[in-house]
Order: sequence, then structure tokens, then C-alpha cells
Amino acid sequence: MNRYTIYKIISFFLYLIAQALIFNKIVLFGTAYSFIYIGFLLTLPLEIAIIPGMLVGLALGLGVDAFSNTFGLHAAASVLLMYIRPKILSGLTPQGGYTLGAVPRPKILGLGWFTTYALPIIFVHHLVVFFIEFGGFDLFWSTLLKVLASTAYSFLVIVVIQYMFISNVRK
Amino acid sequence: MKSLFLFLYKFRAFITLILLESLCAFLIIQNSHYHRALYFNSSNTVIGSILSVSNNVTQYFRLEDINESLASENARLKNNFREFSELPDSIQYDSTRKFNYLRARIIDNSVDLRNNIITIDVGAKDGIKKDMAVIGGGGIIGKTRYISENFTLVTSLLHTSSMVSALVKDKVNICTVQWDGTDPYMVDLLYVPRHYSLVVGDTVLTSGYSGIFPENLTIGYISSIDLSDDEPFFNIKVKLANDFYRVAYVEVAESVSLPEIDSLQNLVQ
Repeated sequence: MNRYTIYKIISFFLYLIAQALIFNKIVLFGTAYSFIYIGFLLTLPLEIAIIPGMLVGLALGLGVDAFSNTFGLHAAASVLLMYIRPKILSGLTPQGGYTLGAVPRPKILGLGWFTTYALPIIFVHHLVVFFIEFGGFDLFWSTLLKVLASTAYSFLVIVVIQYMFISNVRK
Repeated sequence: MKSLFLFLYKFRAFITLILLESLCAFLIIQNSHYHRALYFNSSNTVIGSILSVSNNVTQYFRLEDINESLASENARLKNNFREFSELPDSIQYDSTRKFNYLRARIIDNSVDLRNNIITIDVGAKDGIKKDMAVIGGGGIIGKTRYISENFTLVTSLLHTSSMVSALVKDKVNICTVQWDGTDPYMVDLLYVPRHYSLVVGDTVLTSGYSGIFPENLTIGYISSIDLSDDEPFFNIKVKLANDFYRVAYVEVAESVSLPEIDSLQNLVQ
């Protein structure tokens, strides 16, 4: 285990605890949720293969589920997130390809790149979370409003965390 | 055979996705259809303890709210006490206790989801069993569902599968309260036939017919009444007496007579 792996394991638990104890309680206007834990999944290194990635998503999702009593809801959304992430990443390859050991973070690849990368993924994740939670498509528009508001809120918080707390540990 | 393995290898990511998603679907469905205690929830010792510690901290910022609600409940109880003490002596009260109450603290509460679950800091070691009433702030909070040694998960009234047997004070004897999953301050009052004359502001109380909730607890007050021509029942919205955002302490009520009622009903069936 190198330094970077240990750093990632610690930040896994920090994200989980921050989500469970802080951000689960800060719901804006009863509409906008921030699921900041997916910031951890979004900033996993590019090299991580798709299947281990999905397993990490499952583990983190189940952790969040355990704290919010949602039994598999976040796990389902996170596994899907980790499945579509490599596809979006390969669609967004910069000219000349990614540098070896690059981490998809706004500080490294630029805020503009990170926005086009993270926003669609966060949107899909939140879409899955809210529509499974509502158990169907009745109240479609109010659910969609929750999805959109939460996507913006989560994205904002994830970016702020990236700039404020994450040190420049490189692989 | 070889081509089958090649096929499986080519689509291994997609197959893993399907497998993992089925696992998640299984967990979600098992929770909503079978009342089985799963390990991955906040009644788990580790998770419950973490939430409890976190609640110890955040509670300090809400002390004013908590004080206020306790004071108003005190006042309400004192008013009730006066009513009782002013009644003539000749009426004999049934002195058998119907419910035992146990104090509990809410350590985790969700309000804005569609299916909200509350975690409280009492469990099997305090004698909590399934389907006990949880009340607080003068109104009802929910029903106990998963019980571990030290913690209990409560199905909040703000859960789409919660149904509470209710009555409208002095008017309707039997109806049902259920939440539609949108506004955490409002619930629906169902099955009130159209021949009743109700007005906005009428009090909705628990009926106590289910044997789980004590009777005559305030659920809320009618805030709007709607009657369409082709429906047999009113569409009634009830404003909840309890503010679920603020509630911090609750009582778990154990019905002394529920086992007897249950065994009688089993005889009949």
C-alpha cells in the first residue's frame, strides 16, 4: 500500500462521515439535497478498472445507505455512476490524451473540464436516487425539481470541497 | 464454449453491473416488503453510536427549541390535569393503566424523504417491541419497526406506508390518516363519507381502535376540505400538530392490553 492508497482509504471514510453526519441534515428548502460522497467516486484515479470501481461504489453507497436507512438506494445509484464514469471520461479525453496518473479533479484538469465531466454524472446519480426513493413516476415534476436543485447543490459543494480541503497528494 | 467465455469476458463490466444492481434491488425490495431486520441500518450498534454522539453535539444548538416544546407540553398536561381534578367525585375512573410510557431521544430523523425513518436511543434492552406507538409533543410520531439491542428504527408518520386510525372530534368516528409523501406539515384524512358536515379547524384525534396508539391524541387540525361530485369520500388535508423538524424527545407507549386484543383477534380469524 503506498501513500496515495492510504490517503484514499482515509478520505473514503471522511466523505462517508461528512455525508452521514453533516450533509444528510442540511436540506435546503426541503428540496435540495447534497450527496457530496459522490465527490469521492468522481475523483478516483483514471486507472481504476471498471469492476473494482463499481465495487468501491457499492461499498460507499451501502455505507451511506446504512446511515440514512435507505437500504441499497445509494448503492444502486453509485454502482451505476461507476459504470458510466469511464464512458464519460473516454468521451472527454483532452487532446493528446490524459497524462499518466492523472486524477479527474478541477485543480488538475480545469474547472471547465470538471463541470462537463461531473454535472451529467451527478445528474444521472440523483435521477436514480430520487426516482427509486419516490417509487415511481407519480409526482414527476416535483421529483425532477428535486433532482435538478440537488444536482446544482451537490456539484457546488463537491467543487468547494475540492478547492478547500483536498491537498495536492498526487499518485 | 470458447465463444461463450469470450462473450462473457467482453461484457464482464455490464454483467457485473447487472449483478450488483440486482443485489441493490434485492436490498431495497426486501426492506419494503418484508419486515425483516437488516444489518445495514442505523439500529446497528456502530452506526447508532456514531449518530448518538453526533446528536449529543448538535442538540446543544437546539436547546431553545427543545425547551420551548417541553414547556408547552407541560402547560398542556397541566390543563388536562385541571380538567380531571375538577370532575365530580362520583364518577369512578378505570384505574387500570392501558399504556406504559418510556422516554426516548431521537438521534436521527429524516423529514424530507418520501419514506422517513426515525432512530431513537432505546432498544430491546429497554423492553421495546415491534409495533409500539411513538408519541411526542402531544401528537403522534410513528410506530417502532426494527429493534436492535440499543436502538430502534421508527416508521415515521411521514412514511407512505404509515396508516393511523383516526377520528374527527365529536363528528366522525372512524377514518384513516395517511401521508401522501409531499408536504411534511400536511397529511390526508381518508374515508370520511360525504354526509358529514365538517368545517376547517376541526380536530383530528387518534381513535385507539388499532390498539397501538393511545386514544384521543391530537394528530392535527383540518386545513382544507374538498368534495368532488363523483367521489364517495371527502378530500381532506390535515395540518399536523407536530412539527417533525423540531421534535427531539419522544415517548414510546407500550399497550398493556394489545397482546390480549391480538390473541382474541387470532381466535376469530
